[in-house]
Formats: sequence, structure tokens, C-alpha cells
Amino acid sequence: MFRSLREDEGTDVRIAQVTLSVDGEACTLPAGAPVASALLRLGSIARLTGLSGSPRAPYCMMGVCFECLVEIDGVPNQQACMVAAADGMVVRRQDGHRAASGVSSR
Amino acid sequence: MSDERFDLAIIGAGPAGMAAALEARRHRLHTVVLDEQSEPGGQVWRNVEAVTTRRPQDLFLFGAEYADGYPFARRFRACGADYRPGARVWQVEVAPPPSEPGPPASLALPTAGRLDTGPDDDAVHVERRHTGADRHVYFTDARGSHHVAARHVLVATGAYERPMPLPGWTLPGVLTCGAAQVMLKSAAMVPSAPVVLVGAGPLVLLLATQLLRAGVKPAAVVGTVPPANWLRAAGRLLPALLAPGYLSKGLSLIGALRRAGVPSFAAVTDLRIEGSACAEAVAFRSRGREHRIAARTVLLHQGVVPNANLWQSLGIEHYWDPGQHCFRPVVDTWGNTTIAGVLVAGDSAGIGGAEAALCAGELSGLSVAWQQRRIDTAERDRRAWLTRRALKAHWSVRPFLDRLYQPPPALRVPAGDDTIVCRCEEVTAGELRRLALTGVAGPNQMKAFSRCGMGPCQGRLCGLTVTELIASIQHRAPAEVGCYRVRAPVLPVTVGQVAGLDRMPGG
Repeated sequence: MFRSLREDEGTDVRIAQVTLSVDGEACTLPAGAPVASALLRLGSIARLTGLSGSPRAPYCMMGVCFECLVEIDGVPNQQACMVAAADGMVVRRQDGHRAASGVSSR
Repeated sequence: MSDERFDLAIIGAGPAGMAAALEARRHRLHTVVLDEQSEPGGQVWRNVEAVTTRRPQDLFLFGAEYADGYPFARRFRACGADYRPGARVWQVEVAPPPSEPGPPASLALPTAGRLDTGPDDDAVHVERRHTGADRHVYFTDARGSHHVAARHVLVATGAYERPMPLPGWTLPGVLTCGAAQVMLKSAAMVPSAPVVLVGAGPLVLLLATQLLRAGVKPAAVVGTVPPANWLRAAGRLLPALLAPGYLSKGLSLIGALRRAGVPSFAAVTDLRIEGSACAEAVAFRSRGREHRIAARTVLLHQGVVPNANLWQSLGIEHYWDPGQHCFRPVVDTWGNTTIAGVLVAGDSAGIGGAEAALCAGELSGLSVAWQQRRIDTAERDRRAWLTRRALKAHWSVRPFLDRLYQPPPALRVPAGDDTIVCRCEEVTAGELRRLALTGVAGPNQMKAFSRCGMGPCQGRLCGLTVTELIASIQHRAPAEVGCYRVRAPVLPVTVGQVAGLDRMPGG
């Protein structure tokens, strides 16, 4: 859904890059970028809703809508748009009901 | 952490919060600023320090107003306020002892004629000195949860984009225009083509031109302003011309889009986003014809509304503003609310924009300095005079903008029954309409019956829709229908985070 502003120019050396994984898929981002930007770059959803199992992805990017709830380094229900990406972070999608009880999908 | 005590605690480091901090520090108030972002600037100047110092080649994308944020943020950092980035406030506690006097009797509801005029320098300055008990602010940051006490609290939580409930708005690939701006400012990313912008308001035009500069030409800008809005706005054009720069800037944005050949549609109806697993197209009617535009990213916007949860949780008296279609706190010309010692400034008190928020924050800072006897009345009024003039000028464009960009009824209350209103609990307009017809008393009963507003966003994305839906079905005024009763914590907190507070005040 999103791509880097400088896809063609390669990596800007002035900006530190970090690499995290989303459901096992690696994604490199500028340091300080929100985790949710990795989801949008990979075109990944954040979660399935608890009721109908519909896919949801980041919507507001400013901590208001809570659509981007994911598991980050084992802690569930984190707002991916409010957490800065860090090297080696492990992000997992949340799946419906089980996420509600704090147990992530594996 | 728990014993920290301040003269003033400011929540939010956007234009209003920063301006208030600068003014408070000028009068040597011991000030703490809590903000959920990692840098000062709020949404309008989001990430401005990092962009200016590490990606200066991107500054041209955002324009001069954005670049102005950098020197301001530097001044804020140097002002001596205790600035706490990454701090998310989940409760402000006001527990007045029985002896503390109630709200000032003179702080009455604004009169109808004044609703869309914003702060008025002719209004009676009903400010009183609050010298009572401390207010308590609870927040969580990366290191855990904390508490600070302060004699005064200023809520400067800004605004967020008005929800735009239409068919398909929950599909992945549908975001707000503001979200795309955050991606540009904080992650140096742009939406993948084809991109369609849908809605109305200054931000739609601004974002479309920013995307153009970033090399992404929108596939279309789909405008939702009904023709009748132009007629209603025309009568307010004259005062709008007195506001510095707003209209000329708007026209130049429109010109840039025209020159770039961005296809645009006006006064569209029957809007919907199509797609199964993600957004695939935007469909609508325009000038009697059906259109369907392929889209990978759909960016919605229909204005912004106050980020009200925190001040609402305090039980501050509020009113429905029929011009801005939202609830606003009752404040005096300094931002003082009906709760002594608590002020609201900037867009969280009503949408006036960043420039107005700078003025409002400054006035609130002055008021707190006066209430805490750092300055006398004469000095306060002398310092406030020019700021008030500027504030009034910035507000003079609002009646025009509010009328022109008022979202059409069908985009405030969805016409179709299947459209989701509450994204968290997946409650549809049809279900809410059925309950409204059975005579549900208001939003709180609606919540109990349908779970609407009971999810993690705590009603931020359905509250206004529910109020207006009940009002339209039951032929009542939104003011009478009211809004959700918001209670702390206004953000989800874990038991561990609450237990992690090392000591409760007075404990």
C-alpha cells in the first residue's frame, strides 16, 4: 500500500535504518518510523476482527482508531502506529478472538 | 516519580501546548509538558525536527508553514519546561475537597449568535483565580506509569479527522488523508498508485499537492462538497478574506492540482469503496453518471474534530456547535473551563487551526500565570491584547470554511443499513437505526444495547455519528441527544500499568 519516498535512489545514508520482522517477513525502515508503517509497506493487515474475522490495517496513524493493534515482542494489543520501529523487533498479526484473551496466533 | 509537583501540567506538545509552555515559562511557572509523540510539534508539525535535520531535502514537500515548526520547536525545547515525549495521558483527576467552590456562575453557554465566531475579545473575561487543590495527571511512557501533580492542567490534545462512515471504509488500503501525511513525515513513505483522495477540506488539497511534489500523481480527487454549501458559505466570504493567507493558499493549491492534470470530481453522491480483501476501487455518482475508479490506496477526509476524550472524562460542561458539528467545551476567553484549575486550548476546544491554537495556548499560559499571581491584571491584559487580535483574525475564516466544508448528511449518518459505524465492535448503521426507532434514550443506552462505542477506540470513531443518527431518527437536536459519557482511563491501560504507579497521591 505504501512505498519508500526514495525507492529509486537507494538508502539515504544520513538516516539510520532498522530492520524488523512482521509475521516472519523482514522490513527495513528509517529509524523512528512507526511500526505501522512496516505493515503498510508490506501490504500486511494488522489483525482480524474478533467478531466477523474481517481484515483490518492501519487507518489513522495517530493513535485514535486502534485498528493497528498487533503483538510486538510478545506483548499483544500494541498500537503499531504509536511504537517506533527498532532493530530486531518481532511483530505479529493478531487474530480475532484469541488476541482478545492475550494469546497471539502462532 | 509520584511526588513530582508542578505549577502547570500541559497535555499535548502541538502548537497550543508549546505556545502555552513558552508563555508559562516566561513567567517562571514550573511546567511539565506531556506528549505522546517522540518529538514536539503535534500533528501539523509532526516530526519537523527530524525532517529538518536529517531529511532536509524533503522539506519542500510540506511547504513553508511546516518549516516554521522547526524554530518554534527549538524555542520550546529551550524554554525550561520539563518536556516528556512518549507520554500517553490516560487520566486527569480532579477531586475537589468539599470546601472548594464550584464552577464560576458567570461562565454561561455561548449564545447562538456567537457559536461559530470563536473567541471574542468583547466577551466578559470571567476568569477567576484558581488557588485550590492540586490536579493529578496519570500517564504511561516507555519506562512505566507515572503521576504528576499540578495546580493547573491545560488540555491541548488537538484534533483528529472526522470519521467518514461509508461502505467499505474498514477495508485495508483505506486510510485518512492525515495518515498519509504521517507516513510522509514520519516514515518517508508515499502511497502506492493508484491513489484516490475522497472528501473535502483544506487537508485534501494540501495532501494532494504534497503527493504531487513527492512524485505520486493521484488518480483522482473525489470531492464531496454539496452545491448548497457554496451558497451557504458565500455570505461568509467577506470576513474570510480578512483572515491572513487562508483563501489565497487554498486557491494556489487548487491551481497546482489543475495544472498537474489531476482528475477531479465535485459534489459526488452514493460514495462507496469496493473490494473484498482490500480496497480495489472508489465508486460514486457525479453529475448523474456512475463512476468507478480503480484504487490501491483510498485516502478519506472530511474535516477534523476536537480530540475531546480527555476533557470529556472530566465532566467539563460542553455544548453542541451546529457550525462545526461537534461538541466543544465551554471555555472563557482564556480557555478556563467549568472545572476550576483545568483549561482547554487549541483545536481540542473547537477547530480553529494551528495559527489560532498558537494564540489560544499563549492566552491560557497568561491566564495561569495571572491566577498563580506571577503577573498582575494589567500586565496580563497588556500582553493578551495583540494575541487576541491575531486570534480573532484567524477565527474569521472559520464560518466560511465550516459552511463550505460541512460534510453532507449522508456522510455523517450513513444512508445504507450495512455501513459499519462502530469499527471496533462492527455495529452497522442499520442496527443503530433500528434501536433508535425503538426509542433508545441516547448514546449511552445505545452503547449498552449494541456495544457501539465499547471497543478499544472508546467511541472516538463512532461517537459523533451515533449522536447525529439518534438525532435524525428521533427528530431531536444533537445537543439534547448528547454524547457518550467518557470515563477514565481514556486509553486502555493494563492492571500492571496501574499497579506500577509507585504511590497514589495521598497514599
